[in-house]
Amino acid sequence: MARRFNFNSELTMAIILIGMILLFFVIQPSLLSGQNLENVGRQASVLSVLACGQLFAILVGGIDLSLGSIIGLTSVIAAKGVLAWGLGWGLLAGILVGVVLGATNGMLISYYRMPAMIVTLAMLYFARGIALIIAGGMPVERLPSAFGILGKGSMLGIPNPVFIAIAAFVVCGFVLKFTRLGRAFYAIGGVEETSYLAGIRVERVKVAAYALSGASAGLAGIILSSRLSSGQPNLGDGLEFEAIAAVVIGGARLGGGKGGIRGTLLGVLFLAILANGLNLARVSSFTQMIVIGCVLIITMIVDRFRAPASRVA
Amino acid sequence: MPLLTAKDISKSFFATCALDNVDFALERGEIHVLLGQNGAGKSTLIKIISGAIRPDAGTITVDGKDAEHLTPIKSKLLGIATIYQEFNLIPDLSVAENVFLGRLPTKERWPHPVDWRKMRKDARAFFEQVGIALDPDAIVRTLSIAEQQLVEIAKALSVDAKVIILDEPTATLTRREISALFTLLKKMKKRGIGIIYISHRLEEIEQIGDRVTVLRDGKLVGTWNAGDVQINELINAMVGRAVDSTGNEDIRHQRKSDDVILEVRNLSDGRRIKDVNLQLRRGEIVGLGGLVGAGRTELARTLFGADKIVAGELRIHGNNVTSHSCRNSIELRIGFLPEDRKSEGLLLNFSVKNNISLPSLKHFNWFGFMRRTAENDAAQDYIGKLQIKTTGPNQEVRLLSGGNQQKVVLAKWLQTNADMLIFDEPTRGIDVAAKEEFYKIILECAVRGAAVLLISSEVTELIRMSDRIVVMREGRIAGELDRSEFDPERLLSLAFGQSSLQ
Amino acid sequence: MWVVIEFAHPGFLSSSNLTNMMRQTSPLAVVAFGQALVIIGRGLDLSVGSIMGLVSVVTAIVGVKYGLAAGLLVGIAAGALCGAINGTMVSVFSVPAFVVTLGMLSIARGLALTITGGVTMDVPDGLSYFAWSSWGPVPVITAIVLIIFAIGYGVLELTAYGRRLYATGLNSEAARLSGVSTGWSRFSTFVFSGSLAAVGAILLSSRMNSGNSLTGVGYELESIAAVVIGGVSLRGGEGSLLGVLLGALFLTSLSNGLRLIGFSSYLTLAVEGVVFIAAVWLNLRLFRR
Repeated sequence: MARRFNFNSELTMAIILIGMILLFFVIQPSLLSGQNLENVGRQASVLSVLACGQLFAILVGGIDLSLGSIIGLTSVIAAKGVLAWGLGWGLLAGILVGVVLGATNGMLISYYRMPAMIVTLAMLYFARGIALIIAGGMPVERLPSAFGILGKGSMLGIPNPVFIAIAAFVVCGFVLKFTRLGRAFYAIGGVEETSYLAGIRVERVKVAAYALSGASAGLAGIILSSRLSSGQPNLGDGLEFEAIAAVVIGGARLGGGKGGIRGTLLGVLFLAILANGLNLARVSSFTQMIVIGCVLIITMIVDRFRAPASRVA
Repeated sequence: MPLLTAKDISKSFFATCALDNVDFALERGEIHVLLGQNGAGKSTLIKIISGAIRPDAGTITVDGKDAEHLTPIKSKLLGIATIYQEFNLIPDLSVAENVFLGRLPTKERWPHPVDWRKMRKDARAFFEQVGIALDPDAIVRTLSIAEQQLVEIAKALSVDAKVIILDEPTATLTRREISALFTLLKKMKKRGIGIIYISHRLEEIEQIGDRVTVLRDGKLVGTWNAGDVQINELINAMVGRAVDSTGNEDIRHQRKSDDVILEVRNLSDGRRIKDVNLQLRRGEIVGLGGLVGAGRTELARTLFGADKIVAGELRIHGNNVTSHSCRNSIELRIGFLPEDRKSEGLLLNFSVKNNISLPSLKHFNWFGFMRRTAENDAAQDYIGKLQIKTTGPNQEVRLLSGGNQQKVVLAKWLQTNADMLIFDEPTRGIDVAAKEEFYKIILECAVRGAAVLLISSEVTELIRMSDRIVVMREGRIAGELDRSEFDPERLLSLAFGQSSLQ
Repeated sequence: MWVVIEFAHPGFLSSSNLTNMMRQTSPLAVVAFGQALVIIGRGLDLSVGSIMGLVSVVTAIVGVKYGLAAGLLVGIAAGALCGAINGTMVSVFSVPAFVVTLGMLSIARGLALTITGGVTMDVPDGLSYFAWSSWGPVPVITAIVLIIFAIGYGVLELTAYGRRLYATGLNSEAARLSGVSTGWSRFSTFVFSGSLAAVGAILLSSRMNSGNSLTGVGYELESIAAVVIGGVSLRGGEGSLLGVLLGALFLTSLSNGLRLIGFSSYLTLAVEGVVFIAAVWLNLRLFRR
C-alpha cells in the first residue's frame, strides 16, 4: 500500500541528490573534505531553518515573500537589543520581531482575505525599509563576542548552526506530524471549506502558520548575524526565493496540502550542494542564480505532469 | 414524534419560486425517499435542512426542538449529516484522519501529540462495528468512489448523526457496491438513524425505501408508504398535468428538411459520454432529455468543441471534423448557449453590444480596430428583433433580467449567422412570460432554417417544442421518441432506465 | 489626484522639480503599462525588474560595439524574448504566472550579473539623448511615455485585441466559449510586458547614463503598485491605462515629496509598502464581484 504517497518522488530526489554529489566529487574532490562539509553545513543551516517556515506558509496554501526582509530586520533589532539589554533579551527580541511580522502577514491574509503573495511582497519592502531606518543604513557593530558563538562556533566538530538546523527540522517535523495544529495545516491546504465545516478555526491556524514562518526568519536572521558578528539591515536579501525553491523542489505543492519535512530537507540539501558544487567548480554566483531559476521552473513543469488524476467526485 | 420535521418551507430565488409551503417529516429508523424531476425542489429542501440555505418561511424541528437559523455547523451539532455527490473529503489525507477531522485524538502527556495509534485503532473498531470495510491508513485520493462514499458515511456516523441525507448515492456505484451500501443502510436503520434518500433509480424505492415523498414544481405532491404505491403512480405524480403538444403543426411540416447539418457516430469524450450517434437536420428541433448527470451538457460541449473528442466521428455540413475547438465551431456556424449563462454564456461586466460582438470580432474588425458604429447598430438591431429590455447597447449585461440576458446570448450567436444552435436549459430561472417569448424565438430560429438541439429537464418543455426527443442515460443514448410517440411516462422511463412499467 | 497633498512642501511644484519628476516617472510608467496588460489578463509579472537589468546590460554591450540603434533593437528583443518564455510557460504549460515570473526573475538577474560580472558597463554614445534632451518644451523621455501611452490606450480601448484581452481577464471560460483564444491573449501580454520593461530599462539607463545589471530592482513591486493604485482590478478584466499613468505619477510624486520633506529613503521604502497594502485592500473592496 502506498501509504507514503510521496515515497516515489522523494526516492527520485534522493537519487538525483546522490548523483549530483558524485558528479561534483569527480569534478572537485575537495567537495567531501571536512572543511568544505563544514562550510556547506553552515550555509545550509540558514536555508534549512528558513525553508521550514516557508513550508508552513505554503502548506496552508499561501507563500511568504517577506522572509528575507524579516531576516534583515531581525538582524538589526537583535543586535541593538543585545547592545541595549544583554544577550538573552536581544536574541529574544529578534525572534519576536519575526513572530510579530509573520502574524501581521497572517492576519492580513486570513482575516482581510488579501492574496498572500501581495501581502508578503509588501511586507518585504516594509520590513526592509524599517530595518534600514533603525540601523541608519549602517551595520550594527561592536557586539559582545558571545554573540558570535551561535553562528561561528561548533561543538564536537560540528558547527552550531547545523545543530540548530537539525533541531528545527525535528521540531517542525513533530509539529507537522504530531500536533493538531500541524495536521490542520494539511487539512486547510487540502480543502479549506471542509476543514471549516469540521470545526477547524481556519483563520487562526493560518495566522499561526505565518507567525511560525516569521519566527523561522527570525531564527535564521540571528544565525546569520551571529556569523557576521553584526546586525546588517540588508541581510537575507533574496533568501525567501531560495527557501521557496527548496520547498518546491522537495515536493510541496504550491496550492497547499502537500509536502513534508523530509522533502524539504532534500530540497535544501539539493540547493546547498548545488551551490557549493558550482562554487568549487568556479562557476560564478551570478550564473548560479540562473541555474536556480531554471531548476525552479523545471520542477514546476515536472510537477504538473507528476500530479495524479484525482478520483474524488 | 418524528425525528425531523420541516413545516411550511418556502424559498424563492429572485423571481423563481423553488419551494412553496412544503411539509416533510422523517421518522426514526426509516429510509425516506425524496423524488422529483430536476428543479422540483429536492436539493433546495435538502440544503435548507442541512443549513446551507435559509428558508424564506417555515420551521424545522429536530427531535421536537426548534432549529432556528440553521448553519452548516449548527445542523451538524444537531446531528444532521449530508453526503453530497461532490464529497467533502480532503483527498491527500488518510481515511482515519478524514473521519476524525478536527478532533484528532491526542495523548495525555504534554505536549499532547496526536495519537496515531489510537486513531487507527478507534477507526478500525468503529468500522467493524458499523460494518464498513476500509483501511484507516489508506489515502482518500486512492480510493474508489464507492469507498470514498463509505468514508463520508463513517464520518457522519462517528459524530452520532441522527439524520443522514444521501444525495444520489448510487449514481456511480456498481451493483455489488450498491448492495453493500444497502446492507449498511439497513444496519443504520436498526440504530434508529433517519435517512433521507434522494435517488432517480425508481427500483431502489422498493428495495430500500420505507416512505416516499414526491415534489413537483416546488410543491409537495404527496407522501406514501413505499409498499402502497406503484411506480407509474409516482411517475404521474412527478410529471403532473397533461401536456399540450399541439400547435405549430403546419410550421413543422414546412420546416422538415433532409439537410443534415451535424452528425456524430460513436462519439465518446473519454469521461462521461460513450458511443453516441446523433443527427441534426436543418429546421429541426431535437429535444435532448435525461436526468442530471446523464451527460447531456457534456455532449453539448463536445459537439461545440469545448471538450475533447476521444473517439468517434463528427461531421458538420458534410465534412469530417478532425480537430475541433470552440473557434472552429464558430467558424462552422455553431452556437452554444450554456446552462450557466451568467458564468459561461456572458461576460457580466461587459455591455450588451460587447457581448453580442464577441464571437464575431472578425466581422467588426477594420485593420485591427473595432468598428464601433457597426457594433452599436448590430446590437440595436437585435435589441429590436428579440425585444431585449435594456436601456441600450451600452448597458452592462449583469443588470438585465434572466430572460433578457438569455436573449443577449442568443443575439450573439445570431450575429455569427449560426445555423446550428445548441440550447442547454435555456429557460431555467426565467419567468413564465419570458419563457413563452423565448419558445417563440426558438421556433422562429428553426423556421429560418437552423438546426436546434434543445436540452431541457422540463418534460413539458421538451414535449411542446421538439420534433423528436432523444433521451440520454448514463452517458449513452437510451432511446428516441418521435412526435407521435410523445408521452411523459415513456420519457421518464427511458431517463430512469425502467425497461417496463406496471 | 493626490498631488494636492504634496502642496505641503514649497518648491515641490517648481518647474525644475516637476520636470525632474516627469523624468523619474517615465521608466516606471512604461513598465507599469506592461504590467497592467498582464494583470488585466489575470496574470502577474514578477520578473519585470530583472528583465530591466538584463536589457540594460545587453543594450550597453551591443550598443557600444555595434551602434546605438543595434543596441536598442537587441535590448528590446531580449525583453520580448524573456516575456515570450514567460508567456509560453503560462499558456502552454499552465504553470502559475507567479512561479514562472519568479523563476525568470532569478534567471534574468543572474544572466545580467553573469554577463557583466557585477561591473557597470559603458554606454553607447547617444543613449543619454532620450533622457536629457527635449523636443521643444517637452522632454523626449516624457514624449516617449506619452506616445506609448497613446498607443497602448488605443489598443486596449479600440481594437479587437483589447476586447479579447478584457474578456480573457474577466472570465476566461466564457471568453473561450465565445471563441476567444485565451492562450494567445495571455501569451501576448507577457511579451508586451517584457518589451515594455525593456523600453523602461533603456529610459532608465539613459537617465543614469550607465548600463547596470542592478537596474530595475524593486520595479516589480512598484509597477504592480502603480497598476493597482491606477484602478486596475487584480482579478483581471477591468481598468485603463490612464489610471496606471496617474498611478505611476502618484508613486513618484509620493517618494519625491517625502524626500523633500526630509524622510530618509529608507522610510520611503517602508511607507511605500504600507501604501501598497492600502491600495490593494481598496482595490479588492471596490472590485468585489
